[in-house]
Amino acid sequence: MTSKRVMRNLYSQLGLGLVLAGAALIPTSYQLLGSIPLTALGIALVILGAICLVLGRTRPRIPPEVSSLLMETGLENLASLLEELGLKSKGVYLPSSLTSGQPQALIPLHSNPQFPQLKQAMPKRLIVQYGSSPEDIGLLVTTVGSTTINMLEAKPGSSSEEIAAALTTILVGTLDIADGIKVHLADNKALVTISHPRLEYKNTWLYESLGSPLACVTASLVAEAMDKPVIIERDEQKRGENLIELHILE
Amino acid sequence: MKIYDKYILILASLLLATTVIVAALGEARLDLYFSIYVIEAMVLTELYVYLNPRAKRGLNRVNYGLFAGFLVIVAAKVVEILWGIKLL
Repeated sequence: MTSKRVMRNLYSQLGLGLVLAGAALIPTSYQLLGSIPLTALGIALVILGAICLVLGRTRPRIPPEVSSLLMETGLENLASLLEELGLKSKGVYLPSSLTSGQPQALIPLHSNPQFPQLKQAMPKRLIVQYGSSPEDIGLLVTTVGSTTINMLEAKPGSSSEEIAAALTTILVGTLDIADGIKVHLADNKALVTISHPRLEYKNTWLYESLGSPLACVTASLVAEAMDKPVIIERDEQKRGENLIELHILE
Repeated sequence: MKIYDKYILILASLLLATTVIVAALGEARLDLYFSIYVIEAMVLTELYVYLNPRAKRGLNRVNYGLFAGFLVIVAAKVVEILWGIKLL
């Protein structure tokens, strides 16, 4: 990262300003004014400035607008593909143990009320056969959730607390697109409440099949944590909350 | 970057409140102010467990620096108690 780019970052500018102000205040207040509280305030400014400088350096190198552009392009292409094929069946989120590498979503070409139990990992192809019936054919696609799992340092455990912690790390800490996450697990269901989501919900063909990007990330993470396929049953946004209900398949 | 803003605002409020309260108590030891600042910065960083790993690593580096400063103060106090030499 060049120094010019760092300086364009507001945190770095604030940090540099605070460090310089603190560095000027410390000798002035200690030697000239003889004031310990003002000297302490100078030290506090230097500490705060150093922290701002460090946070400024950890901001993503790609501007958020570029990331948004890339994500929307990818989603738009996937939406066109689904719309052209007339696929309306719900996507099944598979853990990495059932795919070749990262968690992916399988969109069956024919709506099947009973999703067959997968015994082996899917091949790394776009069109895959997932069951014994000739109709058990689907599209195996990479979603937003597939790549975000890599942001975690370790695979999350299967308890609701561990899933909530992993989701908070991704959605609140890393992506900064929500303020809080609650997870409730019961039988074969998982109810995830995301407070103050900053990605708007659109009622499109793609969202009907694969869910919103937030639901995508949630479903991929739950599938990976439980090591079982997952379907998004409900994905709605109301009063500053995003409610996502997942059905965990056997 | 809302989570960064929250972190900076909370830390700034804590440091300012500490300065005001300790000054109001008439405390004139600079090392006491510094020790409280270090503890506050370290505790707050630990509470923000959900910060992204890069930010967490960076903040930990700052905290190591602050902790080194704290150790210097402790060492100076030990020297002062044992040999009566005032270093700070």
